[in-house]
Amino acid sequence: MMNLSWWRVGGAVLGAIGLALLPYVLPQFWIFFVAQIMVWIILAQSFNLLFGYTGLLSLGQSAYFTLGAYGLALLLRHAELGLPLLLIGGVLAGLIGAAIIGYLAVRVQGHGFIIVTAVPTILLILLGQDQSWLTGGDNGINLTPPKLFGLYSFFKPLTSYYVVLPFFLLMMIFIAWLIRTPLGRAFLLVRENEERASILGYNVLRLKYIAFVIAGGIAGLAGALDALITAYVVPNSASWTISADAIIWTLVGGAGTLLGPIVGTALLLLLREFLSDIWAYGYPLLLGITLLLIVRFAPNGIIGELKSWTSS
Amino acid sequence: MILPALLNGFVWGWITALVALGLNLIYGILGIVNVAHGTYYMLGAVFALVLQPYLGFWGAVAVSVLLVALIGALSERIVLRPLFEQPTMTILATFGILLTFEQAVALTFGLSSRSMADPLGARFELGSTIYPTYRLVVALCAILSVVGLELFLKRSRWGTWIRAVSQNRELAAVQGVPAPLVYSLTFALGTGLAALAGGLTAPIIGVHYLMGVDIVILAFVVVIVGGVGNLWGSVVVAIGAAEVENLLTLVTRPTAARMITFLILALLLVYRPNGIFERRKA
Amino acid sequence: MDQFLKTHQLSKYFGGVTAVNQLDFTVAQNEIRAVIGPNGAGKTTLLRLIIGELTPSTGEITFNGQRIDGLPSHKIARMGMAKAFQIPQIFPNLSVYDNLWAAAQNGETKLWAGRAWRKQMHERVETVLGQIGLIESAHVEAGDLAHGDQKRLEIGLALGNVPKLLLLDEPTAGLSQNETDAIMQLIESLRGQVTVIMVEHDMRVVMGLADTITVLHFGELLAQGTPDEIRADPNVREVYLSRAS
Repeated sequence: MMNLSWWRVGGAVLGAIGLALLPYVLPQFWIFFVAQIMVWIILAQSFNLLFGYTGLLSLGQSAYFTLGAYGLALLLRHAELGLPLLLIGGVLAGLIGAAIIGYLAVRVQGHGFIIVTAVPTILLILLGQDQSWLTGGDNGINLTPPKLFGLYSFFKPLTSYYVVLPFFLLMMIFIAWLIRTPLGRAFLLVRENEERASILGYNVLRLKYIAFVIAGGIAGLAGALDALITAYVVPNSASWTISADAIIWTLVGGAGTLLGPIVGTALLLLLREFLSDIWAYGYPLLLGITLLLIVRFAPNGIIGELKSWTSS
Repeated sequence: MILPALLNGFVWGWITALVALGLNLIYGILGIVNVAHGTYYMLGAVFALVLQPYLGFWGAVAVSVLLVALIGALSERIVLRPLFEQPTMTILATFGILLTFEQAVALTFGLSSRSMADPLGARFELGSTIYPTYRLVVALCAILSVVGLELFLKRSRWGTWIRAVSQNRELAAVQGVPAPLVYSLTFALGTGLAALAGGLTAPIIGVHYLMGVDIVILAFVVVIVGGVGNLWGSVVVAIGAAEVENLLTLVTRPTAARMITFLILALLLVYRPNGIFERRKA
Repeated sequence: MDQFLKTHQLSKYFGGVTAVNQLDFTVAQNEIRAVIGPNGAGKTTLLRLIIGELTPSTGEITFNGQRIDGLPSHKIARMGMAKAFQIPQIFPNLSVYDNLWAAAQNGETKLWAGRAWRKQMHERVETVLGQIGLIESAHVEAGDLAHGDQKRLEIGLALGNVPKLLLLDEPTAGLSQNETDAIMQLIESLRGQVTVIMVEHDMRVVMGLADTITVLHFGELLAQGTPDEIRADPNVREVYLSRAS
């Protein structure tokens, strides 16, 4: 059943408190690093919503990430806006991009959908290179984010952390809420058996579209936050290989679960950080092999396998 | 200026056609969305680069193709065969292959691009400009390979098996066609074609561990727009797209030309999901 | 209502094959109608046309006074029609309970689920669980059920949204004697509340339940009448004897 047990809520509250207190025990570098992880988790959740819950494999969430990043960057450059509006601008950029592309994309059946989602990533990169006066081309743009409340600079890791954290928690709550609504339940049906869902009265095309647009907004938020905390945007961030990263994190953690992308992203990014000192390129190699093993032996990911373990 | 552009389009069209054909075989017959296909293209270039000092250019390319075809067959056998009935997991497994090979190359050869010398070093006059002879030779090789592929599929025993499986898997099995052999063979053939393209283009664009990333999406789009299973469709679309792009560079910037071409292909993909050559059913 | 479900000159062509040919077919409200015929007679195609999975090549379909030909199946379903597939089409990774909830939700995709609505859903799911006899399996994953139970779930899914018209495609195919009896009892319990159009091969089921039987042959109406009339019809006998399906 889909009810929210007190254990889960309790665990989530504890987790939130833990995250809020974490900077007190971490050195500067790691504070920023955790903030970055949270941003990438949001991107992974964007993919998870589409694939884990609705069954749509999208290679192109990175496109809405970049749209969100540039939405914020361009608003910052050309308008005098406060932080909240900047972030809303980023989310809107992601939403609108997904609304336009999704309209065509969800009408493509089968594997064609996967490829269609990758196309905007290439178009966006080309557009970025072409209109380099606007986007900074391959070099990107360095940003000067406004100070939080006029006081705290984003170049201090603590500022980045405490701006990302509430949005991260908000996003997790949003997704947890969404999948328990009738709409969220309907997404699952599209994943499980589209044909049957249709015969039961569900407008499958509309559902796919709604999921696509929401996921675009989530990816846009991730991009906008990333732009803020790294003070940098570049068209290449739309590359489908970045989408692939998010896909891998989600799968290792467990698609179709809320915790999966959190665990997968955190674990793999931490692993990458640790390996970078010992064996620089070992991480992607290890990742590739890990992925092959997961796909073969633990297709439900860490959380997924844990779930089946505990329920049997 | 038109003639070099047309010629470039022709050459690149045939190269893309090689990659797309390989993908068409794999996707059309095995139904596998192989996002790692570009990696075999890259490996083709890498092996050619490495073997060139020992075997000369053409020998290096030939051996490189065989090596990659072998790796391709092994990838299919070891990684993908066990996942046969799970299309999503298969796609993800190809991600794993992509990452593994890509990073293995990055580890060994570094992150920057390596160049490879033009094996012919000859130019010929083309109207008011000069044009590298090698590029024409590349196109010729590609054309010969495609014709060779066509002959192989139509005339040889293995080719007939491949065609049988692509049309009706169950029927082919019933008639005694050894499916596992066909799968490995198809993968070997498909990846070999990609490797050939990679080896041939190495002297033109250099060798880089990420060189397969963009061409794989283009190849997929070409395959779908030309029609999955329609080999000549892939060739026509590949050349057509390359010509369009190159002609556009005469009137606008290269990035804009590429963007417009891609956009056109993408729209064709959406509005003709069964390919532009598919006859509409009544 | 006499003409609760009505088709007029309904045809469906697939390339060179005519699956359904100029069929005039009418079912009265709360009737239990069986559609029988040899394989390839167009029975399943007829059901698929009625629920909108397929679009008619020519002809009209009217449901409860409204034209439905050409409408997408999700719209037709929400008008009060449901279909049970021959091969169970369930949601494999969801529990039986969640499967039935999906059916009861009837295509609703709102964001706010009030307490009253949820209570209504729970009640509906529990009612259907009782009807199909899967109360003990409520929290089993649907994909883990045995075939017979999946067939029951399949019918449960079709009942989930309190349909006015229920289309059953071979509801007892592949079931044991006992399981078939259970299904027959279930359908019998619906008599007077739901209109049923049932495609069946099992004559015992057909004769035991149907008010009227329609016999199709090559997509056309061969015979129609009460079970006794059909039993006595020489055309029907010839078609069935020569085919021994």
